Amino acid sequence: MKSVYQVGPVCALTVFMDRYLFAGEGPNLVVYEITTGKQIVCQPVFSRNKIHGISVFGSDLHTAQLCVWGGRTLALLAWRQLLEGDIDELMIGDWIKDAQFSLDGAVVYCLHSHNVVVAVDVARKRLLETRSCGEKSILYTGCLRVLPNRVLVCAGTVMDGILVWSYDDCQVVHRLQGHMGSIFGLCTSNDGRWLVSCSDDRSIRVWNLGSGEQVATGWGHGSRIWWLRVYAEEEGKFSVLSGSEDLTCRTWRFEQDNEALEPVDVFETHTGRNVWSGAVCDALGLGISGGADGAITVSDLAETQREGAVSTAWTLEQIAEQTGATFARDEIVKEYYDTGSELVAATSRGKVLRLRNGLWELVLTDTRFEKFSLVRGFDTGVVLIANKMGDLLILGDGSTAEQKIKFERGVLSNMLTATRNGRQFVLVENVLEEPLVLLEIAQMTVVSERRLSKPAGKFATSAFDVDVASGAVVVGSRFATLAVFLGDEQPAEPRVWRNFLKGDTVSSVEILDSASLETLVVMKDREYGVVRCAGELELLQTNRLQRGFLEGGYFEDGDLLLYGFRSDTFFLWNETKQLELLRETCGGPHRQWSFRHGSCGGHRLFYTRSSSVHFRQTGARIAPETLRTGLHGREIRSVAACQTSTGHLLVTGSEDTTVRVSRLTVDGSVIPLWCERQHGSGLQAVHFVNSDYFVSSSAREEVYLWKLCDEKYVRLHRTIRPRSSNPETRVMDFDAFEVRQHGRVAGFLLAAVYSDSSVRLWYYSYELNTFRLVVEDVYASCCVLRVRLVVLDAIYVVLAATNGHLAVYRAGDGDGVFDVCGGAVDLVAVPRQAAEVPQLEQLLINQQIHQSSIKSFDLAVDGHTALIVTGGDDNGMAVSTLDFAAVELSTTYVASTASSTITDVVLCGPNRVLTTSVDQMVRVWRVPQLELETEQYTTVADTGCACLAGDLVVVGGAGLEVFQIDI
Amino acid sequence: MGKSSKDKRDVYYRKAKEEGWRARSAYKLLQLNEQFGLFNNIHRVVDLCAAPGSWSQVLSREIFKNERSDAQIVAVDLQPMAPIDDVVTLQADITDPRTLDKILHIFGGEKADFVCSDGAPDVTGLHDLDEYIQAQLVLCALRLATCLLKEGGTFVAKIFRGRDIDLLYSQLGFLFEKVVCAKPRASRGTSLESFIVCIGYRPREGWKPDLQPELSTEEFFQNMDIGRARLHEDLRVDYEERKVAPFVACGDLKTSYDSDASYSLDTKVTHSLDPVQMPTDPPYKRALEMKRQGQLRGK
Repeated sequence: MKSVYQVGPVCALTVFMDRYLFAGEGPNLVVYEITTGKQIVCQPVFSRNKIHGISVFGSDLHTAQLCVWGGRTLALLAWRQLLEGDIDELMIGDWIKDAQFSLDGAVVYCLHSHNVVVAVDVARKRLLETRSCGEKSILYTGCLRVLPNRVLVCAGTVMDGILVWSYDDCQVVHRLQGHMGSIFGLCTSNDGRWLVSCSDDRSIRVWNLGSGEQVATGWGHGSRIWWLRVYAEEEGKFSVLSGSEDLTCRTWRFEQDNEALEPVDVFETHTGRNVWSGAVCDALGLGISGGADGAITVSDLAETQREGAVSTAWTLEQIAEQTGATFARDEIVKEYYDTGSELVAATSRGKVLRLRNGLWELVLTDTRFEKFSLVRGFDTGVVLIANKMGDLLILGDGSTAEQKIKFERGVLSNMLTATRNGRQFVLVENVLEEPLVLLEIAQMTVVSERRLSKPAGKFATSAFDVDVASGAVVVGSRFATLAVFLGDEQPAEPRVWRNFLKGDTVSSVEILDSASLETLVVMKDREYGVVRCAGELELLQTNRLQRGFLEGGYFEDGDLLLYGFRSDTFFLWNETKQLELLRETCGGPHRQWSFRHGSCGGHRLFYTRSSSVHFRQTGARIAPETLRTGLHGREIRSVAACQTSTGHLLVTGSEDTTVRVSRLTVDGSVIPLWCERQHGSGLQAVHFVNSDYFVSSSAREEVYLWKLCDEKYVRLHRTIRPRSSNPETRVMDFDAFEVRQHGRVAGFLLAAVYSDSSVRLWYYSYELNTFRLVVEDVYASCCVLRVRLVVLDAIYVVLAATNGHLAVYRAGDGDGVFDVCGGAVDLVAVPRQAAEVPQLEQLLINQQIHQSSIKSFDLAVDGHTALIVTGGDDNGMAVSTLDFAAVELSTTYVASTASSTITDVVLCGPNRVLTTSVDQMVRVWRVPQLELETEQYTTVADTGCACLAGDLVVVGGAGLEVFQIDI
Repeated sequence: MGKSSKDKRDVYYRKAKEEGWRARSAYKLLQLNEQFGLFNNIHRVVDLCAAPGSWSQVLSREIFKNERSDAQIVAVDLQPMAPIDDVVTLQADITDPRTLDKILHIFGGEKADFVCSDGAPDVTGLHDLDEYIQAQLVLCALRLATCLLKEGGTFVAKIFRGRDIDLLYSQLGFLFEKVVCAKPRASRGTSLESFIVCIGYRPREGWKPDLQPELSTEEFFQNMDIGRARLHEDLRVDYEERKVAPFVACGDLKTSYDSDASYSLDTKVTHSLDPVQMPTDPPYKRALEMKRQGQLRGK
């Protein structure tokens, strides 16, 4: 078994020469070039331990000396040794908190968790001496600062605040009291004059190490703070980067004589829980963080100073002054359009203003555009201004044209614009049920006009796109409606779909594929989807964000980006990589605003706040936003794989309540595609029904059926309605078996087991897209953990529970709904929706095999017998033979097959079984004799689940690891 | 999670409030006792990391069932604890040698029959670190136990069954006749928590416990020769023996509740019971207050 891929908590990050990032990814040391994102080397350093810290000595990569530590172990190596994998693991005998080189690089000082410093001779790799200040209390954190005249030790205790002592004379210099609770993070300034600290009390404190006084305090994190980094040091001033359990990194500014450590910026670039590590690239002004999600992200700490960065605002008085125009007392800037290089705005008194190169000018005043006007435009720079009467001003570069949009009756209510292949389209809507008018504008004049019948009933246009090749038009409306006009016929009649996604207003539509009209649809109320609408509407992809309002979305380099408002901020979010790219406090969504995305930074946001027009343009990016993408930010509870034309699709369900769909490549790499947020509670199980469908289950009785589309999209297809009005039970596991009708697959049976001991069988019909409850029963009073369906001459339900029992039921035929014969199930009657459903027909076997919970089992059926392998919380395994005909279960139990809970059991082939256990071991056993064939340590803690994908084994827990295996 | 939804989900939490236990962990000790008869013929008992005191409550109620008991129970914690009948509470540090003297003084110089610890650290979520700190906490309790326990005495402590728990099993095997990993049914199956039950204390021959403040827990055990790795001149990685302790599930299947199961409430709960012991002030109390008042500014 060979590890080929891992993703999990990133616990160590160190910047070297302001150019390279050394990252601890599990036991692997990975080196990146920061500005290009290029990975230079990835090498395992420790056999078991995760890397918790890295120090680098030297002035050049090729002559650098590295000191890497994790747990009780240490590695000292030269760059060449890292490249060659020539690494010795050394032992310090206690958990290392920090290690730093002496100024000449000859000695490494290691501070361990009992407040002792161990000095090591780097060249000879030998112990020099150990020193302590006499107080050997346990530390959560500590840091060393090697100064020209001394080595300073800062120790963060559990109960007694911070102990600062000098290595040279072993004397305590300061006892810094002020924090409440355990100290979790410490960092000194380079000159050793200042110390910053954080603790369980969620504050950050700055201490003067000369006087021992607390000089400043900062508050802001909503949860525990884990680490701090001091940067941008000047005389009496510096900045701090902090990382927290609240998923954010924050920056702070300290200035001597200010008692407040001032909060500056907030970055949210991880998911799940905890940002474990961080580093600052001081010269480039970049903050780098590593999360529990395994992601390493780069935040620009100096974004506002980058090329192109603008952050400015104009009051109406300032605009008046610049333009020389006089504004009425009640006059406001009502509408504007950003062409990407200039802003055209209309006021409530008919003034048209232009902002170009930071200067406002008055373009014209036209009283026809008082009170109501709409300002829209195109990427080409052409801007349109319309009023209710259909007067349309076309503003080009230095010239103005005018058009009249004629209505039989009624007035204009909305105008939308789209630029496609350089062509300019306008969609105009009337207040009445008059047809929509689609105009194309070229060289400032209308070159074509089409009438599109307005869909009957409630319809108010909110977004549209045009497919230039076919002339098809996709229009989104309020009231969650989508209308599609195909071809060129006049007047075009729409196909209309209402409530195809949850929510109200469609905020944006973008056609992705011409032939099929594959379209990205974003709904204001957090939902988004990809639909195909050339024929019948087909939902390919559905998902939602958890907070805020979505105003739009677009694809860039294969990543989906979404933007909108969340409380008082505007955000831009990379949905594929799961990180926030922009956060701007603007006061919230109920205001005039305009957003245009850039490609490499250069995002433009205009918004009105307190009647001032604000402009924020982000500076050019100097480094990629992610050096490595992550996966789940909390424990993965279940994993399943399904073969595709290019490898496998991997589905993972996690404690973080998300279901992730990723691509598992042939070489074992995991490339995230979607992070589905439909579940409201931590996941329990995910399994495939077949190559198109999979099911997930969680607490609150949630059982969700998902459909995969085109090997790249996933949509929530159907959910099972909870049986109780206030569902409290967890759906622990389920199993599916396909059901035929007239010789063809018509649906499947789904057996689900619950934490209140319920067992339910549902029939799902593909045609009707419904779940019908066909059998319902209660096993005992304990929690049922796993279930499998076996179909022979009858439907059998095999289940395992927390009482250590394996139970076998004959399920019956659902009161004549099914015909079971020769290992197949046929649907012979329509399952009714009934208040009373049959119980399981008969409990055949209920036998205790394990002392406590059977955490997992797998079975293989051969004729009328099944081989069942179980793994338990009692560290034991059992191999059983279940004879369905004779109704007999014979079992061989082996105790202590692991030193902790066996969490998953997966049969691989006829005579091997693979297990995962919380002792972080993956083992392969021969069955039925249960002989250990091979075992492999995994870096994934809380090891909880596994699945096979060809010759790959995917192991999930607090992270995910992929092994190649010979089977 | 609100009080009442926890009531519905967690049967032991609910039961603890109804029966007057300060924490649901009381049932864990009751079930351990049910299995191992831990409280038979014990006179001097030490409960370490005792706050809020549910284990001391159990010890007090069970040991003093027959009124003529001459037993003595000492409960030690850094946090203050509300008084419990027949229990002497000590607010003290278990790593401090003076704590040992105080306990021995209470016992009139006699040694203890039973030492237990239900202590857990500030769990961070980093599994390797949390497991290491928990192991250190067990060693801390064990250090005091080796000074306090009479030959043949019993030691019970909470453990996290992680990747290195087999090291601890092996090392405890040098000090006790029998080392068992016990999981009461009151402890959730999804939790890594279990309890190490060490029966029949065998002091190491030729080794005298020497509780000095300048020795770390690690150093205290160094010369005990129980197979713990240590720091060498050449920094070599010691081989450390790993052993799997036998597993015992505690709590009768038929009579005890399953902490993983969801139970419907027997009666309609119209109001939720308050916890027996309100939680103490958390270190982040001020941060919470600031948040409520909108003073935690972000950007």
